[in-house]
Amino acid sequence: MSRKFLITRPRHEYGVTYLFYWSEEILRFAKKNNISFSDFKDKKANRKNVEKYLKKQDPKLVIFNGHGSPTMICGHEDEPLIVSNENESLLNSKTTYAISCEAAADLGKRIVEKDGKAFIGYEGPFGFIYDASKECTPLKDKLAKPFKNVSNTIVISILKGNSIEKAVGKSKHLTSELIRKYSTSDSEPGYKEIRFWLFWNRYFLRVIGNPATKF
Amino acid sequence: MVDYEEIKKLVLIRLESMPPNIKVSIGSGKDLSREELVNEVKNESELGKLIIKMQLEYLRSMKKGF
Repeated sequence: MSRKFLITRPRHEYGVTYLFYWSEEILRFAKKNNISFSDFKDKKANRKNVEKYLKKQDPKLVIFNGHGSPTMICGHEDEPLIVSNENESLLNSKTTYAISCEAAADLGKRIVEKDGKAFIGYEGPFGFIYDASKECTPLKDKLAKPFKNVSNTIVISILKGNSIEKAVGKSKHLTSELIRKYSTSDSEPGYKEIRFWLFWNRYFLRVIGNPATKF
Repeated sequence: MVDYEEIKKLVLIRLESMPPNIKVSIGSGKDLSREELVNEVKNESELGKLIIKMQLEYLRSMKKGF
C-alpha cells in the first residue's frame, strides 16, 4: 500500500462548504511535502467514484468531509458514500478521519472491527459557528477559524508521520489552549459560542482502533 | 444536584445573547440561527436536550480548567 490519501469534500450547502475550504490547507501541506492524494470534490464526491478508488488505489488514509449519521458518511448532495453493512469493508487496513456527525457512534466501530486500522470521528454531532456575513468567503471567517485549526491539526499531524493518538492529542491540547484564549473577554461577540462549540467537538471526538497507527 | 431547569435557563440566556450574525452548523443542513437554537432549547427537541446536557458538561469541565 503506497503512502497516499483520499479526501472527499462536497460543497452543496454552507456547512460542508466551510469544510471544503478548510481542507485546502491540508492539500497545500500535502503538495509541499510531496504526499500523493486524490481530491474528490463537489460532484466527484459520489459513491461510485469513492468505491472504485478504494478498491483500485488502496490509500492508507481516507478523509471524509460531509454529513453523517451513526450508520453512514455522506458526500455530494448527501449521497451515502460509506454505509454500515453495505460497503464499510472498503476501509479495511486504512486509517479514516470523518469530519461528519455521529459516524464514530457505530460505523467507525464496525469499520475497525472489520479490519480497519483506525477510525477518528465524532460520536455526536460535529458543530461549529460561523459568521453569516462571511458564508461566501469561509476562509475570511474569524469565528470559524478555530474550528478549522483544531480539525486540520489532526490531519496535518498524521501527514507529518505522527501516530493518530499523538495527532488527536495535539488537537485536543489546541482546543484547551483556544478555549483559554477565547475566555479572555466575554465582550467580544461570539467568544462564548466559540468556547462552547470547541468543547462540544472535543467531547465527542473519538479514536477507535490502534492508537499507534501511523500514515 | 444540578437543577435541569436552571441549566436550561442558563443555556437560553447564553443563546439569547448570541450576536444575530452567528449561525451554528450542526449536522445535515442544520445551520441554525439564534432564534432557531433558542426554539430548539425551549421546545426541548432532541438537539435542544443535547445542548442542555452539553452545557452541564461544559460547566463541569470548566471547574476542572478544561
